[in-house]
Amino acid sequence: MMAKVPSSSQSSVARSLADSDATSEGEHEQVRRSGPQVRLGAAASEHALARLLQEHFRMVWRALRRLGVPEHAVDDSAQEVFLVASRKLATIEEGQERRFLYGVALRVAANARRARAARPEVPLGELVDETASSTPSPEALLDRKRARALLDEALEQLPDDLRTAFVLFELEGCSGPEVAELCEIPLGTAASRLRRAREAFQAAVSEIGRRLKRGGEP
Amino acid sequence: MTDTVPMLLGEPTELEALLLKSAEDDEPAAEALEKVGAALGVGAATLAAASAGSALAGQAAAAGHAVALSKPLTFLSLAKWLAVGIGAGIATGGVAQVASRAVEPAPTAIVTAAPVAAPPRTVAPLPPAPRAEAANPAPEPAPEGSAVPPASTGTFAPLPAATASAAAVPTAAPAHTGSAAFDAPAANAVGASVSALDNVSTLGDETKALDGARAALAAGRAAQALTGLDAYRAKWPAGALRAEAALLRVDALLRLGNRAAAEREANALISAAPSSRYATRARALLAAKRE
Repeated sequence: MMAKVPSSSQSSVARSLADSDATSEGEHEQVRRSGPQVRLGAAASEHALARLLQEHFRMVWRALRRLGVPEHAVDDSAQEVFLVASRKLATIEEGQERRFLYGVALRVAANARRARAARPEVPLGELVDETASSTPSPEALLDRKRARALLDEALEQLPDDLRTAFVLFELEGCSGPEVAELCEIPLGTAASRLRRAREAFQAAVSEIGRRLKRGGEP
Repeated sequence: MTDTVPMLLGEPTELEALLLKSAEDDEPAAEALEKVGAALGVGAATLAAASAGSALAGQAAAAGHAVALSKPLTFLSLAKWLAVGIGAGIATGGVAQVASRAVEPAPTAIVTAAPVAAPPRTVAPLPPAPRAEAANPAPEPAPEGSAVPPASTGTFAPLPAATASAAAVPTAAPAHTGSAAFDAPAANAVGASVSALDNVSTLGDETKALDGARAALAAGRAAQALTGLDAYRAKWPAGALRAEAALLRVDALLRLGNRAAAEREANALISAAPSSRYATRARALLAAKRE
């Protein structure tokens, strides 16, 4: 999906993330065997992970949603992200936690999207969930939720690589260099992707706007 | 790179701003954090202790990175957005269109300042109405890597401002007209506005009607659900939730063993919006009920 820069120019974060690919492919055993290179004490690990969860769980969860992980799977995907983090705790540099988590989240989301494409299974549970969604609720909340559904609809129109750049930059507040690093692409490419992503997003929103003006007619 | 400006801090259209802002308060169910913590061997007590130390930082990080950033931006409700469209549409009568794309609170704005913590597992987003067509093809991918235009190399170009008029966004730098968000032909403006108004005012009733059908379906009373869905269709042939209704209809028909009719419904849904999640769900329903 994304052009990769030569490994020699990859950052330490990118290399660290690359190490975690096995886990994002579901091969947890492999990671379990290798384990973190520097072991923290059990209590220290638990505390560090607790902090990571408290500070970043919501961020990771939200990013996964916008990156296309279906609602019914997002808790599990978030768990997968933090599972990787728990194994890499000792290697995550101070101040790099957010970037590390985003990096893992990108991989986990990509896997989830691939799985969804290969097996477009929509469990009945999701329909049931949406039952609850339409129970009468305060109008503002209903509007907000509907807007979010429209946002996801617009994001669905973007190719994966553009969506990733867009979500990271526009919704998650990553900087351009962060986008480039997380996507492992040159800065210019990141800029190009973001530009195209915005164009595609604007086109999708325009179309949604026209539909709303028509009264939602298909 | 320092001149990079997120859309929300630039000049988004109202609808763009509305949709982008809507992501901010999307959050996991209250118990999700503890569940994941427990699965990873982090006890609730440790989690709570960590929260005492990091709650503020975490909130700041979450809010800060969610492009809430510093620019105040009043959240406009969808109803308000439609209302703006309505007002502008009526006012169009030969002049321009929506008054302003700047996000300003209007007298009718329903402001949802406080984020509502909606447990996402139990309260999912309302489904959008189905997409009209497979519009919005992705722009022709520009070659990546070294082929980035010099102007954008190393810097993020400001958001092209004008998005109003075309499905295909111009690739050249568009001139910012500073005007309306969306261009409805004047001749259709009033009709569209009335339709939008109906849409807003009936949403609650439509929701209730579908809830009834769902409840019947969940209770195994597919025939009753179908009757309810017939009534829905008769009452709101162009209802905002009709895609959802069609999906329920597919489900009900399948449960009643009327696969041919279910397939007709599903195919209509799929051909109307092939890439929508409704199409995906319709396909999944058909596949799941296949012998």
